[in-house]
Amino acid sequence: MISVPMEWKERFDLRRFFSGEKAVDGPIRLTHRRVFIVPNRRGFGLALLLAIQFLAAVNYSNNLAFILTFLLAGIAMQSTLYAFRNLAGLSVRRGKAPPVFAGEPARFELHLDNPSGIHRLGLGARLAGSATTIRFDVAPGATATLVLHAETGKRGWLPLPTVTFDTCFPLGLFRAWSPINLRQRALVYPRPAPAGIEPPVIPELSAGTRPSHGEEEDFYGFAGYRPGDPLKRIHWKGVAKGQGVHVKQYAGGETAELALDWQYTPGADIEARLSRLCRWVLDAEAAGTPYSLRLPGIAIPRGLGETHRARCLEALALFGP
Amino acid sequence: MTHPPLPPELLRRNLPLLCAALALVVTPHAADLPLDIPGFVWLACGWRLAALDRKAPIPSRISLLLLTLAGAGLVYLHFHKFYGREGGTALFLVGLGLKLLEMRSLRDLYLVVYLALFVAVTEYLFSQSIPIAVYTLGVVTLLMSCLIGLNGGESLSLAGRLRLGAKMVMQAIPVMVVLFLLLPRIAGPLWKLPEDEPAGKTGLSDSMEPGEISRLGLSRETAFRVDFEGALPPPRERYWRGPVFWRFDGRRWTAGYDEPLPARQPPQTAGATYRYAVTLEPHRRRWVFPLETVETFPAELTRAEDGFLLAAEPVRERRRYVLSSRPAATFDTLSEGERRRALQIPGMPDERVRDLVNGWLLENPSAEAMAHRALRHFREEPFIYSLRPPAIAGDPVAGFLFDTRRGFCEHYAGAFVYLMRVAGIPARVVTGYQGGHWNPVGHFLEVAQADAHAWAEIWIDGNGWTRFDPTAAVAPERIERELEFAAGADGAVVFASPVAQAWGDRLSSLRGLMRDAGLMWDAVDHAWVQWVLAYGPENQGRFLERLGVVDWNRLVYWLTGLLGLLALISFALLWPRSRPVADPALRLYLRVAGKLERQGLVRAPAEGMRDFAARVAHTRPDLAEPFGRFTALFLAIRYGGTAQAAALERLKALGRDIPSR
Repeated sequence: MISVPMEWKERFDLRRFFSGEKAVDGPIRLTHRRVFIVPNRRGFGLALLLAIQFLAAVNYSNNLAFILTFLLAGIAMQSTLYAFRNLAGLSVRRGKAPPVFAGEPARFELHLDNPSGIHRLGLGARLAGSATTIRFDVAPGATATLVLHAETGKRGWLPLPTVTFDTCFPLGLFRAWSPINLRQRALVYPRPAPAGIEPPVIPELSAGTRPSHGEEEDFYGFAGYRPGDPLKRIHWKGVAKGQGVHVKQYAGGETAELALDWQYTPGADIEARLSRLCRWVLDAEAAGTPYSLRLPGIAIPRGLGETHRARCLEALALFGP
Repeated sequence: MTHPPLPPELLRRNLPLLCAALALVVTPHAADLPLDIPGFVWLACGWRLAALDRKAPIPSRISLLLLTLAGAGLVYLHFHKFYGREGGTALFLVGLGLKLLEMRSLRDLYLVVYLALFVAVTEYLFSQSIPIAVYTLGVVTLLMSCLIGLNGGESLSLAGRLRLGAKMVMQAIPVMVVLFLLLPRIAGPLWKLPEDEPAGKTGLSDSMEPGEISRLGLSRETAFRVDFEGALPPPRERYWRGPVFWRFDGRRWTAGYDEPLPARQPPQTAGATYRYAVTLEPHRRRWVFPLETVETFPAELTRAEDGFLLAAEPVRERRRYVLSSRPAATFDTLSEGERRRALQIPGMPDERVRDLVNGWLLENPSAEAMAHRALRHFREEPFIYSLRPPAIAGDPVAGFLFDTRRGFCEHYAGAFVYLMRVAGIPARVVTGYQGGHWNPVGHFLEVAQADAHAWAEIWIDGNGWTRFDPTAAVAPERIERELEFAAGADGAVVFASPVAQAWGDRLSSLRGLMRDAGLMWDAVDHAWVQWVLAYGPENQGRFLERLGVVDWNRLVYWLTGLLGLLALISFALLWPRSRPVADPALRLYLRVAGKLERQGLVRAPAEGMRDFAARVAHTRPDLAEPFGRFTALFLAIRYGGTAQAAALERLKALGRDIPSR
């Protein structure tokens, strides 16, 4: 709904018709400035029909033929207003865009608010570069939540491509459309490498600091909670008693702890090594083995769980200059 | 290029309505074309619907080919050609049915709808009546509802589609009216098809042979309608003058203009003047029928030597002419050439005819007395007015006068003029229309093709051409009363007798109502013809002149201006209005939030109002104080229960303090 005064040069930029205006945080209200309308092929077909009817009417001096021709022209004119109105006044908000692995389609959620009393029918939404258009209606006063899928190529931030809303309602003679750019992005993790290569066991420098007495799988004490610690180890009773959040520490069994290090990762190039690290992170999560990650300039201490995983994968996704 | 096939679900939702619309669009053609032509389309609709329910197979390529051949054969069988009004229309109908059967893609479906719209137009070549106009308006609504269904998604019900279709048609009417009135008309035709010519009908032709008028003699079709300004002439003065015939070849009367007639003196002026406007149906002849004797007429018409009017071009569309006439006006001289022409008879007259005329001449040789004697002869001898007279063998005039004695106006007028000429009195035959039916609702006179008539004029020195109507001597009701007459099985005309009239009175309350309704309908129809159907290039020119539109520039201004105005009005009516927020405090808050948004401060969907105020204070210290106070008061009103008018006023004032930029 931000309306920054527009420069004349930008206003007449043809690109605006197809790729929309500069990306903004939103919400974006579809106004006359953003909704365009032209006849489609069927509309030109009707124009041809009307021309033929007009000639027939002239030839036979037939006033009813004139009347029907003019009536159809009036209906076509009316349909442009209906098509425009079907889009105008809607407002678009961005929704969630969860991270995905490279190669998987990215999911962008959009919320489309209809603050008016008009039932918006036969709307379509399509991401630039995508072949499929989602068709949907929005009831008066309702909000439609759309999920649009974008192809992902390489890791890193994927900005939301231009979203084009369109409609041919009511008669299919004119297409009204509105391309919008919302400042939204999805994080694309590296593509996980195929399984097969096991991570090398690296002598961890801090290993000595850990208490090693006691039996395997023995509980030996509490430690302060750090983000990334598995939820199942949180000492919930203590939390309930108001003693703060502590994590139960065990010794022994899970000695197979992992230190994932860029330096010791095989791979032909940067991307291959990142893919390999990505696979190891996923494997370690699946196995429930705590792991640490070390990249040039980044060191993420040992941990396990959703948050830890997300932190590691984000580091991998955004690694590099 | 190939077009994607229609999704089955879309077809299922929309085909029934489409088939209904197509079946209805061809229905009026059943009255004008052989029934199997619209039947072809009905069959196609039925087949398509049956295929939808899997009760019939979808037509294969082979059966489509066979059907195409069958359809074309059907058209050829009936009309022997594929163009012209009937043949061309039939071809379009058959094409519509075929296209429906082979419809596969969305593009095909649109083509079917467009074809249907064109078929609706072809019906207008046969009838331009009000019922047909209203009917097509309905059919167009159905077709538009089909298109709406194709584009409207799942949640639009059939009733919703029909409602929106009707709404769009209604909203298009103002645009239609503006285009109809202002869009410049070109005078047609642009091209001519050989068989289009006889579309106009007239009860008259440019020659008269007994039997010719009768073919249209009973047609109730309107020939023209007359609006009188002021007084209405009495029934016996209602002679509408058409072509005049001088030359007789023994069987056939023709105009006989081999050599031009001498220029006429203008008629002397005496007696009452009638002012009136004739709205003439197209009859593809140049004749315009004025009341006798016409005095003033538009410059586009010329007065023929014989007193009737000629248009510059054959009348191909309804025209309205403003005329005035003075029945008592006469021409005062007869040139030698005219006298010779008005006495011409082919060969020697029959013995019996000569004896008859000579006998009358002995009684009283004056022209006027001779004419009255002849009328008395028709009245007293057993002459019968019949629309289906027997064929005459031998000399047609003598045979009629002495043998058959059954005939109608042409026979009587022809025989009368012949008798006068034999007696040496200049005489001629006049054709035209006589009478007319007064419509008390619309206050106009309706002259039907059935009113076509022929009468005689003789030259009386000192009085000029004087009208005599021998038919009136035989069947005075034909002339002096407005009567519904019907021909019996033998063609003899039965006039309503007083007995029948009395019997009718008993049933008259219902019949009276029906007659009133009929008159009302005629009046509406006359207005339709006069204001809608007669609006051609000429009437448009006059209308535009009255608006002050005399050049192209101004016409373009008017057209664009009015269409733009209509677009603006529709726009204002259709513009999506936001739902008003019920709570006045929240409304104020949203307005202020809007002000901040314009400055780049957008409250995130999940952001609380207090948090937003804090963020605003952080990014825009200048707004910290006013917006903080505004937010605090708003929260107090909305959630703290201090909903007093004074508090709201205060909130409004605080909101005003927040700058828009």
